[in-house]
Amino acid sequence: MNTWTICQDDGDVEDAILFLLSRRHELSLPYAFETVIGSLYLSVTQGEFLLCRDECRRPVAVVVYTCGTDLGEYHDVENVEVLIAFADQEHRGTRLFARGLALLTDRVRAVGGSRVMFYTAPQPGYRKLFGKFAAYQDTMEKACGLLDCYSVQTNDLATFTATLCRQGTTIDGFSHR
Amino acid sequence: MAFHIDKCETDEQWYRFSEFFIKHYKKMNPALDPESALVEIMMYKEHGGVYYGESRGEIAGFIAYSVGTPDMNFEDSSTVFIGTVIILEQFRFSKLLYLGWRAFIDGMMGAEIPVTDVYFLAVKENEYLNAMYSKMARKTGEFQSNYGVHCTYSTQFHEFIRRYGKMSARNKSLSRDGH
Repeated sequence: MNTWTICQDDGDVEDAILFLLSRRHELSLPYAFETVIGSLYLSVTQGEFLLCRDECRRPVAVVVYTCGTDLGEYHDVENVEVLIAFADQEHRGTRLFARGLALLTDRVRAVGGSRVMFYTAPQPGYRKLFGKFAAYQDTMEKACGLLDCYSVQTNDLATFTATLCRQGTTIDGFSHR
Repeated sequence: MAFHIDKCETDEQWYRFSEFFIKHYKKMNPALDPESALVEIMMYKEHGGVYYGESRGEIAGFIAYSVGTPDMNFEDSSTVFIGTVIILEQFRFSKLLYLGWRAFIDGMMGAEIPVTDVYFLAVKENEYLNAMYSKMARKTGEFQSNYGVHCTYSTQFHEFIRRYGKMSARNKSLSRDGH
């Protein structure tokens, strides 16, 4: 049984960081090293890490986000920016995705957020995946290149995750068994 | 035991160093946290560099530095600040550290702006680092931060090279004697 938790002590945060660093070849992030480390730093100082462990307590998935945005200098805590989300391939056809989104929705509400934003490389696969639960906003030119931005209200995200959990449907990339 | 010394240049090398650092940073100072560890990694990437040593393909230790000190906003570029040295316990009596310092000295001698001073920092409770730094430089003070009491050491670069030569020669003779 996989279990999602909010990283609350140094050991959990270290495990989440080490998990992401060790999966660097699979992350498909369009960012250079310093942007990845900068994103992890921002999430330690301005946000949270969600970590999913398997029954042996090995990390299998991580979601990294900030409360507030770079543009709003992190005062706009109603917006939550998901900077990195990753699950090991073998866990992508499981309930892990829905549980992770459900915990993310709870956490966003707990910190006073009402909107979740995701950034991805502009690829058709990601557009299909994120288009299932978030609205495409814009393609932006950042230092690391072009990034697609998606946005979803927490109420809509809660409805989506509840539907996933109820129906047991599958979505591309991350799927729900 | 054979060691390979290299400097972080590519993203892959920086990722490998970061993994090693996050695994071991509390050995340097148990009061540090992930936030401070990430700040250090960013500082070395932006303002300095890292020399690391490998044994059988695995990182066994490293020397990380910045050109200029954080206190002076890195504008004192003739001073090199040795921010972190971690050598895994099983390699502390090997030649790894000497090879690392040699690579560091060679790198600094080729620096664009001539290095005149070397500055070291170690948390007081880290006996290994304080013993090492006190052989290479003069203790200049102590201060308290959120992460404990820290000892500062400083020396001129040419004196650092001289002391390194002395230590290195002593180490070679010890090795020859089989100790």
